[in-house]
Amino acid sequence: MAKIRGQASFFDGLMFLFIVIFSVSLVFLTLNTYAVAQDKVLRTAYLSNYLESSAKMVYYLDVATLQNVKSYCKDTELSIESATSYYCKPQYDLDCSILNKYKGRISISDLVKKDLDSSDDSNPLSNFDDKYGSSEQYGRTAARCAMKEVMKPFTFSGYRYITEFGDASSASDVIVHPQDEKYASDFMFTSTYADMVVKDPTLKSSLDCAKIASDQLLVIRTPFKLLEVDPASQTVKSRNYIMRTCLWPTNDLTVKISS
Amino acid sequence: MLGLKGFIGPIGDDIPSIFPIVAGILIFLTSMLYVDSQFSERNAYLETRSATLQLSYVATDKGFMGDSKFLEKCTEMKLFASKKQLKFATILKKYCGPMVFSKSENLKITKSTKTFGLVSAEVEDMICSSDEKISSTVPKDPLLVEAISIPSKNAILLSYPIAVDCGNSNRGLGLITIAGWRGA
Repeated sequence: MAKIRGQASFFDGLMFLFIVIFSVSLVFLTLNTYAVAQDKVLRTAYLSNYLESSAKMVYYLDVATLQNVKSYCKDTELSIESATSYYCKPQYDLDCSILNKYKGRISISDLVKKDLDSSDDSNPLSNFDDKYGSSEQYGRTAARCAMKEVMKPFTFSGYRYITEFGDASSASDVIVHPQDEKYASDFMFTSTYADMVVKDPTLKSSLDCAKIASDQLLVIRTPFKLLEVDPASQTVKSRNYIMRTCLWPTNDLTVKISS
Repeated sequence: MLGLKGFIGPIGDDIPSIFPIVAGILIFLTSMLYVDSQFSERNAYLETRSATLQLSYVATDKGFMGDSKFLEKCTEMKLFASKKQLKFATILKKYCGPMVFSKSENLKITKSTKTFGLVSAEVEDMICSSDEKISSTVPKDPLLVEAISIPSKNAILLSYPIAVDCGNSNRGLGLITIAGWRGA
């Protein structure tokens, strides 16, 4: 009987050890997920504030100071040899040196408004094409150069962005698409974009934030008002434009585009 | 005697069970101490990150940061940080052109000449800190300067783009970096 009693107490000890290990495992499982969600929220808040800062900066930044900004191609050709062919496609060329023709305090938003506006009153929101009527106004180039520089840390760390402008007068935003592939974005350098255009060439000039199907898409939308004074009648007309910037993480293969 | 075979006394019989029990207690106590330190560390990290983020909201309320505005903001930031018991350093880097996104570069306080067209101006980076030693850093030539040293390896660093004064009324690209830490 005594021998059996000794075995029983040993079994009790083992059971105690087992229960301790089980409880400790549960505590470690809790520890593993503790503060992960909070940390993610704080990091997203940082990204959101970064995008907001970029949007606010557009109102103040003088176009002439962007003349030395390099294209993605020139940024990568010395440091990332394998990326050169990826970022040096001629159809997405970016020449910021043309902005040296602007002297004094002309902000990016001033030029973008000019570019978006039309000299034709019957069709006020014309195109995002570096032109106001027939004169060259490099609003799109200024926006592309500024956003390229500001979003550089994201471009080279697995994120993509699109900055777009549009009319917010109606219930839903009407985005002014560039007629070529020169977006204020780095998305056109992805294989996903190339595949998308091959499948449906009409998407070539209609890419926008609304087509990005990512569950981690971050969007900020900034009002962008244009006031027009009619000298004859002394009346002021206002047009409500928007600037919209989207940011999302991608490995280019997993991101899905809904057409 | 035959009936007591293997019996080594009322305590001696329980000796084999003492080893798993002691092991269990040791494992439990060690784990609890470790887990408690981890929880405290993560809570401290979250609090520092949250306070630094809030400080960054104070610093980036506008898209432009002129020199006089930076000095005004510096007073606000010091007040805010002292309420949150946060130590901080805020550096306004005036790139006025292409930016460099590297930690060591953004913690250097430099002075350099920026040229737009035919006009040149000397611009100096600015710094504001709750630490007197850091805030007294004098801008130097980019080739001679070393990055300021943040006195905590757990400091949170947040950088934001902002328009800065590049001399001669030009507003160019800049970066405001906010480092926040506790202790040390």
